[in-house]
Amino acid sequence: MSAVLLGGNRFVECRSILAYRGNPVLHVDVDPLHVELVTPENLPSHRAVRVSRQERSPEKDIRVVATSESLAIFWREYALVVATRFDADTAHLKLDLRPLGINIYDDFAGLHIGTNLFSGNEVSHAAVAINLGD
Amino acid sequence: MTPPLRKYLELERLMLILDEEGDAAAETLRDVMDPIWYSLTDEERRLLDDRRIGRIRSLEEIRVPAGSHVFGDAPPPPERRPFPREPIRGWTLAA
Repeated sequence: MSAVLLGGNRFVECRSILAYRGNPVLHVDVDPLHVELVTPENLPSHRAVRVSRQERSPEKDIRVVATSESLAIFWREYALVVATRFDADTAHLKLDLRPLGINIYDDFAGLHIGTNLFSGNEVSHAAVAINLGD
Repeated sequence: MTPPLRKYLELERLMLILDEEGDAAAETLRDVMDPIWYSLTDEERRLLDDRRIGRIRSLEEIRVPAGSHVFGDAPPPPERRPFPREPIRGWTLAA
């Protein structure tokens, strides 16, 4: 059973960690390790990114560095997502989307989403663990 | 997410719970789900068939309002702060 650790929260068998109005934003496969990051279009910052198996855009700003045990997605020189294989069934994530103008990041206190802070939660078997909606 | 897909997943969640408990009502729910399944688009059915996890118990666990507190302008470049050339003094005061 695969799990993702993020900001002191545990997401077990969740198809998407984050979504925006039901559309996946952050998806993580643990084995093999893979991360997809697709931010909403038409952001106020005009910094939408798409990193999936099929595409990486914008090509000039996005860099993906992957090894067998880790994967990182960079916006220019800033890490947006750093995923590490924690153990056979678990991936650990560091997330900071602030360079894109998206106020979502994690630190020791938890997972910050706008003015909300989540920590110590376990979410399991959800199509979307956290849905940004109206 | 379209309303039919949402309905289908909600019913599926309940059906799986009942099925796990050996409740015969699971079969009734399966029958209810059939017409919804056929009302889904090919893409939605493909999405459901390709699911990589065995069981969805909820469509979304947490909903967080998205607004200007989440989506904002691009941050300005960080201010340049060069390393000091002289030894740093007064760490305890600065901390």
